Amino acid sequence: MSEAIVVDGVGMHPFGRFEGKSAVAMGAEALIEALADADLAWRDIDLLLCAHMYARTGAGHRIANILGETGIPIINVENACSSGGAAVMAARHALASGDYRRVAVVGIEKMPRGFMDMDYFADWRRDIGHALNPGQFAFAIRRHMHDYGTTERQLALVAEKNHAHSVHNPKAMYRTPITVEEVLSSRPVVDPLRLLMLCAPNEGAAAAVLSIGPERPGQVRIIGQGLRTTRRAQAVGEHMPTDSPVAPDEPVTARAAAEAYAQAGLGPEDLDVIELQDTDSGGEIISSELLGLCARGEGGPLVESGATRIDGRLPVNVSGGLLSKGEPVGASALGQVYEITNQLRGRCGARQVAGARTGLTHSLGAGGNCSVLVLQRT
Amino acid sequence: MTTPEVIHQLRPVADGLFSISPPQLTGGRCSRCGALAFPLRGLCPECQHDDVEPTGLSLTGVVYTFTIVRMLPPGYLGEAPYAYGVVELPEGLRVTTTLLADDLEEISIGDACDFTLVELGAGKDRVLSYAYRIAGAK
Repeated sequence: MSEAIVVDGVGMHPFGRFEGKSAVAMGAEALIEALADADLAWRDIDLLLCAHMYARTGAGHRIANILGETGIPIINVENACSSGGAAVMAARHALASGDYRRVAVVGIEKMPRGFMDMDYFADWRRDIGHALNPGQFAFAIRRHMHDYGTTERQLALVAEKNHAHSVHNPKAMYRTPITVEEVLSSRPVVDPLRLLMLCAPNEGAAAAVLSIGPERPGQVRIIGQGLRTTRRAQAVGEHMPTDSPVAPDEPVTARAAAEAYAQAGLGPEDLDVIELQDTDSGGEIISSELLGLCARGEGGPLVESGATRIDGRLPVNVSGGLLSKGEPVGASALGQVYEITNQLRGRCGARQVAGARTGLTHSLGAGGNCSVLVLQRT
Repeated sequence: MTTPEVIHQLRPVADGLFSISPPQLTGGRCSRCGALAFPLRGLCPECQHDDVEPTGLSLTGVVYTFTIVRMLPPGYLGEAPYAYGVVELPEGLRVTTTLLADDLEEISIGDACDFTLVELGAGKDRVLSYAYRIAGAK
């Protein structure tokens, strides 16, 4: 693309539990905040994309019912936990086509409590207890522990780190520091994962207003994106595989990252701040490796080294991550865009990574969707 | 232990997943490229050929990974805790399966395991399902 995709504004409704408030109402608030941030009016938007998983028919259209029916095209995007990444891809291409000049992307969600009831699976898999997202997270990290010697303490450190970061994020659900010992003594849920190593499904919304145009100093631009799905030979992961051939495979996060880095013309060594999908502690360790932040098998030692803390060499999930914010699935990817955009603008206060110029977001969902975005301040 | 008489009276949790005599998982093998899948699909997932033959899968396998679930997931007919995991079969296929063991805490990656049919649930929800049992377990 000759012209750059620019993030003109971002907005976020806090992630948490909001009794009596609809996902659509939260989405409208996030969108109004993003428009104000971009110094634009709703009537300036010529395409709206709405990412969600549970919000039923015409979610984006119902947001327009709140803001005003301007007659623009509205498209609802469902791609599980990676819905926001898919909506951003559609927005980028809509802008690059030249048909649209200002696109709003909003992600919204209001989720039931507890284990997600996954209609992704056939009914019989629910009946026999195989239709369980955290079960897949457990499969992945159990195998990782076997292959590389990753420890329970390293898993606990991820949760401790992200909660330490969340203290400074007023939009996170959990903002209290927790100790490694507290994580290790929390209730086992799906071995080896304990309660405090798993994120909570919750509610919230986040939005971004994107445009296309010539580069100007100080802009935050999307300079690369990879959107991929898993292949059949990836044996474990968020795609909830039920069978796989025994064959070599490159996991979806590594393939999406390779595409994003190639488009951006840079590599993991150029990143200043990273928001990645920590749906569970093990996911952060594995994704750190697949995004190239460290060598394969070194994700545990990486968190142990302190490199991924806010004052470290490669700060990961300085927002507190999904472990602290909770995971409103349709909104989570745009929540990452909100965080990285504000980090690159130097607007994050006590959780600001000093001088951050280049950042990455990573979201991963059922079906094996993975989106990796590289953002950079010009 | 589920007796053969009981097994024949139970409703399989889904059609086509396994045979009862002999007790065995039913996979699909593509008649063109030979790719294996479980459960049997109408189209080969590798070459999209539509002639896929039912084929019995190995009765023994090795644990590739697993978890012990300690909370009841929505819709599950059985009781917690229970174990399930991915078992690697010698013909080059990995399948997600319930795991049985005398002591769930003793399950390890690399354990050999044997196919078995298993009953699950109670009353009108009672169904016949499948599992691999850690070798050496009763």
